[in-house]
Amino acid sequence: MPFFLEFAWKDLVRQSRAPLVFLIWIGIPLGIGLLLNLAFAGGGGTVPKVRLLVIDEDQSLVAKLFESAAEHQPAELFHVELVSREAGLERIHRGDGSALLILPEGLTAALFRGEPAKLELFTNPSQSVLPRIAEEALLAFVDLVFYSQRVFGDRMRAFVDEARLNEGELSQETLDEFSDEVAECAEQLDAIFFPPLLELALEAEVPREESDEPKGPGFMELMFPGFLLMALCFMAEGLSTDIWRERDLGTLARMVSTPRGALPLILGKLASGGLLMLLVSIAAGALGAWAYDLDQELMILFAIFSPLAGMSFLVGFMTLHVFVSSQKAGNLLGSLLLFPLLMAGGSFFPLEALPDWLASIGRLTPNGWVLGHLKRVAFADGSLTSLLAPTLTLTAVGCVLTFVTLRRLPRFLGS
Amino acid sequence: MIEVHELRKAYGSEVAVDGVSFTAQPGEVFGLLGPNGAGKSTSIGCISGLLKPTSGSIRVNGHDIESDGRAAREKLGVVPQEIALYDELTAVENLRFWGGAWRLSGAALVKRTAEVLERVGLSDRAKSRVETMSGGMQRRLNFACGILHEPRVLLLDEPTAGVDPQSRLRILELVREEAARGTCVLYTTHYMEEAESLCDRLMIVDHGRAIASGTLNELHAEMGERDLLRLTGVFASEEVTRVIAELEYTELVSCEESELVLALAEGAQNLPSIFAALAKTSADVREATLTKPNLETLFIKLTGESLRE
Repeated sequence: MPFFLEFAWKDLVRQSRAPLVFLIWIGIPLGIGLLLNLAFAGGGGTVPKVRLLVIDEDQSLVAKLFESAAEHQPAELFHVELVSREAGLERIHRGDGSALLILPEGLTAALFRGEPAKLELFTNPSQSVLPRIAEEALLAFVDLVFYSQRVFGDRMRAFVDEARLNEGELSQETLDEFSDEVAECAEQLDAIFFPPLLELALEAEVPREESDEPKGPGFMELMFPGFLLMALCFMAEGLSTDIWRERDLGTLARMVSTPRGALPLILGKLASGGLLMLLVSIAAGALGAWAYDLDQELMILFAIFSPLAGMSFLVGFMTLHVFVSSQKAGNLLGSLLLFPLLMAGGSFFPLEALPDWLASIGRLTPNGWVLGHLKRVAFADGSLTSLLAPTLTLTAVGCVLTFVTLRRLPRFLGS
Repeated sequence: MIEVHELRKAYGSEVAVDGVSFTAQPGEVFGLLGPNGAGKSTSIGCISGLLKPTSGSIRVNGHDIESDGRAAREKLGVVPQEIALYDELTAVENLRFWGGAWRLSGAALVKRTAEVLERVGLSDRAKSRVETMSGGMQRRLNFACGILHEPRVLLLDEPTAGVDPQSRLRILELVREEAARGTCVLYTTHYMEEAESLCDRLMIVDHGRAIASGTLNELHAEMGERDLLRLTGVFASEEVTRVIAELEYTELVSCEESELVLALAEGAQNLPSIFAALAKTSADVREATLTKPNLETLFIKLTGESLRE
């Protein structure tokens, strides 16, 4: 086994015996992801409905209209349940339901004749909002019936008389005539109550075609590679500080005095960090394939490319640490670099949601550049060939930074 | 064998080691004795290849540490001043790792690990994590990691710093054993007793410079078998210098306003004459300490300062 792998194994054993730090590195992006998911992607919970119990003692047209209107209103706020008087009263006293409405016998006849009628609504005192909604809705319905009765009262009374004469049947001519009358009236009222602010002149009807193109990724789907990169950056930053621990323990100096020198130490740290990052990337890839139905083969590429990027960040942070005079300064500088880069580079906010000028800057950051490739792999034209150039670039950058770190080590040890 | 010639290491204008030269032979313990900050650890750093000398040359086992560093380090063992071990790993895991760093592997590594654990008295703690061990045990394990690959040159940088007396004795014993099997041992310390009891030859360093070197006998001879008298109080430098110069067998080592140091033969008998001489001056003596000749008195004689300062 190459010695740097023995070194990597040593670092992995050390990491495994202090797992809390590792969990923090993963936990922060997971926590942020969860919060954003709850804030922007909906929690998937059900909207509470008004459970309206109705005692229909009239069994007539108006009662049916009310039930239908309540069930089919656009927001689907109501769930109407027809109950008997005993059951209804018993249930509302028990607190089972938001409100209980009693439609009294003779309601329809009273409305047609323009006579007063009494509706009774019992609300559930243990609920605050839903009974108020039921109350407001009933008031609106009563207003509607009142104005309808005022406008169409005479015609409706004529229907009742005609129906009575024809043994309960209305002729088609009567119904058509009434429909036209209602439509004409509605048109007149519409002009008064809802005057047009803008007029749309429709000159040609554009046929709507079903698009064959796949639907674009959703918000959380767009954020998911960014969260992975955030986790890898946190890991890189955290793992890089181990160079200080090695220095303070004296193990780095001891290693330099061996015939193998310091190169295996750096390579071992990259290998152990890379392996941890690979595990995280595999988990993220599996999550992507499962939760967002992303292509499994692309997810494999995604999981291989991500740790390579993470290792480059790791050696980058290590280089930064060997150039500063203390661990405190290194940590401070690391954080000062990391958070703005994560914010500008699309890990906290998707670049797609940023203004163009800011997104252009974000794409120029190292993590923004990597994220662009990760998203291309995950959502677009990911292939082994498309990853060749970024892989070579990351490897070259990693080699240069490793060389710089090694050259700097004697001064780092002597400082 | 270690050959150091005119070693100089400077950090900007600050000189840590200034023209130090010595040769340490196989089978001998060569001591570098000096106070903290004297340049001992810097010298060890340069010899181990950790630090690049500003000038001078170093050869280890016949190989130049700069031009042929890999070969020079092949049979070099280092026991640093820090406990250079991984806390989270067990004793065996640490030994196996460092054995691997010196190219040991397989059955040889397993065998050597068991042997050195036995030698440092930690066989029963083989599977204990370093973080659970006492300071003395950690020091012994630190030593074990340095001798695992049977080095021909062993650099020990204050290996007994801060350990209990038992562990110290065990470590000193181990150093003697290493020298006995032909290893060239370079031992740095600021404990004179250790240096006196352990080292075949010594170099006393201060402020980066060698101020004396030789065997213990040679150093004692340099001291001239004279006792050291240290007086504290209030002294007028000119007066004191004048009256002491008139005394036979007495040498003025240093004279400051609050401390006077004299080297004198047969100190106990000459004390009355010294006090009589000082009585002629305005000196006010509050405390007197007479010390028999040893490395510390030599150090004080050479530098005018206490070794532990």
